[in-house]
Amino acid sequence: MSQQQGPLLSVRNLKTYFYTDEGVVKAVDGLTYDLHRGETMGIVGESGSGKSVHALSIMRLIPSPPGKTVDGQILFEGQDLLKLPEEQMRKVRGNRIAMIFQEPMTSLNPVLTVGEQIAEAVMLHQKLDKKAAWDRAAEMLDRVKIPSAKDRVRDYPHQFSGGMRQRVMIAMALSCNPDILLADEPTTALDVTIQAQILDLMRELQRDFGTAIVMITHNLGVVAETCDKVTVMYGGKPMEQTDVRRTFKDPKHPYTWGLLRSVPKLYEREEKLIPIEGQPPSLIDLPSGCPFSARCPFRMDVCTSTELPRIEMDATHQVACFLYTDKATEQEKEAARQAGFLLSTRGM
Amino acid sequence: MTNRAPRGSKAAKAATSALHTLVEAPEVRAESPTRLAWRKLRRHRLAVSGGAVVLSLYFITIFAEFLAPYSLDYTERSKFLHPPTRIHLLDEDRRPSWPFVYGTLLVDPGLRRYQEDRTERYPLRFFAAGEPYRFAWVIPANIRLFGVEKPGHVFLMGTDQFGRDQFSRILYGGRVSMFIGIYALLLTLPIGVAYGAISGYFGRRVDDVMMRVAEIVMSFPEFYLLLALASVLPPQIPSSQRLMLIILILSFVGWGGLARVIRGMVLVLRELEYVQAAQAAGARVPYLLARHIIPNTASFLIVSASLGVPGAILGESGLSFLGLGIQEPDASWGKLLASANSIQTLTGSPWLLWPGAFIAAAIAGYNLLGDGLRDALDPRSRSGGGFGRSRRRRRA
Amino acid sequence: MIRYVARRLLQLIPMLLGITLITFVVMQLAPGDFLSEMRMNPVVSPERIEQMRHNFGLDQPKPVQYLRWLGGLLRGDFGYSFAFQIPVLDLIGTRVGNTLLLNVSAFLFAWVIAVPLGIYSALNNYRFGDHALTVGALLGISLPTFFTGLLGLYFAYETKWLPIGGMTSVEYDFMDPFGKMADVAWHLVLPVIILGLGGIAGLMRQMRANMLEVMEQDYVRTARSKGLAGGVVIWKHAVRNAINPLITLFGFALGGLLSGSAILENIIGWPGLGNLLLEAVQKKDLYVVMGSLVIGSIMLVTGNLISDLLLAYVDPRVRYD
Repeated sequence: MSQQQGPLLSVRNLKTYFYTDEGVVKAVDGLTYDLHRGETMGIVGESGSGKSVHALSIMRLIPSPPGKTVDGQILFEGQDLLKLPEEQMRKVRGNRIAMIFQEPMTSLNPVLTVGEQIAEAVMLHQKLDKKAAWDRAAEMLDRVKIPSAKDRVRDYPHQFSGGMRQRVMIAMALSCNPDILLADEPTTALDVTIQAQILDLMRELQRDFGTAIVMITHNLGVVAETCDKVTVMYGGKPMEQTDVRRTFKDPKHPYTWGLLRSVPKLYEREEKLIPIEGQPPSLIDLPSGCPFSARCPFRMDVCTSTELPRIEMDATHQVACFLYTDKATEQEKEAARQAGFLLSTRGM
Repeated sequence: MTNRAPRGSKAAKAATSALHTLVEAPEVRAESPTRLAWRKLRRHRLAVSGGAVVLSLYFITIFAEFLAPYSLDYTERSKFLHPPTRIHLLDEDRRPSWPFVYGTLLVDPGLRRYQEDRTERYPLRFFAAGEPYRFAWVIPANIRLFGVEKPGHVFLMGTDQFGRDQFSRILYGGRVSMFIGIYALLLTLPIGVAYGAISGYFGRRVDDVMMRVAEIVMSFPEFYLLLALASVLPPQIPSSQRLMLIILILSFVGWGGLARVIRGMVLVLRELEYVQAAQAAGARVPYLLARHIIPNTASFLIVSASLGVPGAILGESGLSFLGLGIQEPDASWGKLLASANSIQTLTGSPWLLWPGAFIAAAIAGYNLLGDGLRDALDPRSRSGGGFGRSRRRRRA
Repeated sequence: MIRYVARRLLQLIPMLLGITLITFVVMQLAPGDFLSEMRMNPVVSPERIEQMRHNFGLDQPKPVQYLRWLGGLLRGDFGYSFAFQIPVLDLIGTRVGNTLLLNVSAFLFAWVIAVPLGIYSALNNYRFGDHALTVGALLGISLPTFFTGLLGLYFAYETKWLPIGGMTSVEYDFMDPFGKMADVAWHLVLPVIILGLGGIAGLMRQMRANMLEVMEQDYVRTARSKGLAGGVVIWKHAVRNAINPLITLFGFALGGLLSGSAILENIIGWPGLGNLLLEAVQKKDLYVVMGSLVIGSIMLVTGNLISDLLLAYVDPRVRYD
């Protein structure tokens, strides 16, 4: 259990496909990353880029059929979760790895009290008796700063506001003191002011509990605020992976550039936001090559025909783009460099 | 788009919306909704078979005169409660033969036991002259699909207490049963729709009063009300009038539920912007209702129509079964089934249950069809097009 | 909650008024009155008929007649049965009990069978078992009670396994209380199965649809993400949510049951309210018809009220005040 043994969670070439009537949807197609103890990693991407599916794959909660994790490894403390029998996996879920979801309004069971919903996980995993589990539930509600927590354990979800429900979800997720928290767009459905409160709360609790967090979001602001490192996903594939500073200061992938340029800046008035042209690809029967190629201003012939490479810029910066291979001409590389330079001078 | 960050360096909300504008890409379908629904319906095997059952029932009742070997009131007193006639394909020497029937003799009047008389042999005749009838009410004709020469008889489903051929009477009686549902619907639908639309459109006090009234009608157990209403039908009126009154009663009992659902839909629809736009442009209420609001309830109406017909069929059958609907000598399936409503007759002559099977088939056919229609017309339905069974919400 | 109940009860008053008014109007549509048939009878003298007209207030204007009848209802006086020569309430009283016994038993039977089948069907969505149950349910809905009732009787007669109709055996009067109960229960089996059958089909399909919807809800995924076993997720988290909408169907189902049982009571010779109503209709026993109609509606309205209260009890989101 010591840190020297390597990453806490190591996802290797994860592939989760959905087999639908209209074809195979490659929701996650070759995702690789490491997560260390206490670290926060952001996974950024548009809707449909495979962010949530990857989290459900780790939890092994992909609805099957139609979904199936067809390849790869999910090494948790060195053990491949994909090979665990279901009973063993249940002992991981909620206990060692917990998850919170995007929709606090619908993610809590409306007919059970929040205390019951927290306590049932505690009773299951910590082998506490009912009394102790409910005490823990009240304690957790208190930890997530829900006022008069002792009374509110007996309340039902509909008696809480959206932000309060997300606090309940966080309390529930952290109630068994998990090693990893998978946070799937935890603030997307909330008002902006509440978002900030929830993020502050998560940071604080992370400090106290030492939980590693996978922060799934399409909000670069959230990433900048909370994450240590970032994986940018597109079309089920990781496009660029590096630490948070370099994601904003020295991005290498044209898609990351596009993402950053579509975000408004506070101090630059009247600047036009530049959307990324085109639509995200349909994930059905994707062609080989780069999924972003159809929208990429630097597209080359090679992008649609060859298997996408994973370039190691250095030990902590990986980019999946042909611009950094010998397939690109010097002119093309130069154009890309300038675009990247322009972007990085805009500051974030 | 010149969105600016609403708060600090976080740029949170704006980034979100920017990404959303990138992302929201409605899938474009070239197919019209009607064609899509039709395609989905045809893929729905149960609905197709239900529709086939319904259509063939209408077919056989429309062409009853031709298909039935006897007329509605043809009576053979000596052959009362006669079991279904056996049609032989092998002669006495077990050799294949043209289909034929034997004559029968009543051997035990008490137990109503009939025995085949091997000396009388009548070959089945197809497209032969039989009882005369008028085709389509006008053209005199006497060609019937099948029959045997007199004094032989062919009773495919046996006879009733008076010696009338049950199979023929089922075919004729099916007219009442199968069409009464449609007539009742033609009455219920406009009443229910108009009532619900008016109530929902005007809302407030009008809605309050109208819905209370509808609720009162609905708070009677349906069949209790049917019984009470049927009991006030004057006994000595011509059967055609009686039929019309029964249709009236059936629709009176059936409009409430429909009105309530339509009202609910109208309440939602009238708040839609295009309706309000039309209103602002000075469109008048009847026009608004007819042009903009009611058409939007169409798919619900189609489904409730296909599910309302069997309700009316059931109502008429139930009334006639209890002797409060169609009167002798007219027939409907419910009326015919009433012959079986006595334990002695039933146990001695179980073939009298046949009309019940026809009622069940008609209702099952309509239910299967309605079920399929609901799936086909419901954009959220699971079966049929789209991702079909494997459709799941995927998040990113 | 108490205030809600009180308000609902208050709302019943105009409703019941409406019910009685419609009942009265409907019965006035009948050609002639119930004395018409007596007039045909040479044994009854015209003076006697005049006297009866006066006694029943039939010589009064219609609104007065209605108010008199309504006033009687409030005092528990439902009028007088001509056919049975006893007060209507005495007649209806025992019949209501029998009808309730039959309907409540059929209802419970249907629920006990339908809910697990619906769950099974949903969990085996689009597999063979689900398809079979779906088709079976659609056919089950389509079988009218008067058909299944006759089939059931025929079955009982052929197999001799079950009593052929009625509510009690011939020796009923000589049985001890326990034996009487067992006897009635034994006679209940057939009609309960027949009546329950139609309900099973509808309930099962509803339960299946609810369950399918609930299983895709976010909170079910949350429950799984906590590491709960599949059974706990289904029974504790999904089923409770899926059953709630069925409770609102309770009132609706009751209306269907009462309607279905009206004919079945006739076929099977069950001495219930529906059977009484039919007899009364055939004999033009007006006050009995009116009384049965009103009582039948009261049963339905009460059923609806109970289902609303039940829903408020089981679903924390529904709170009335």
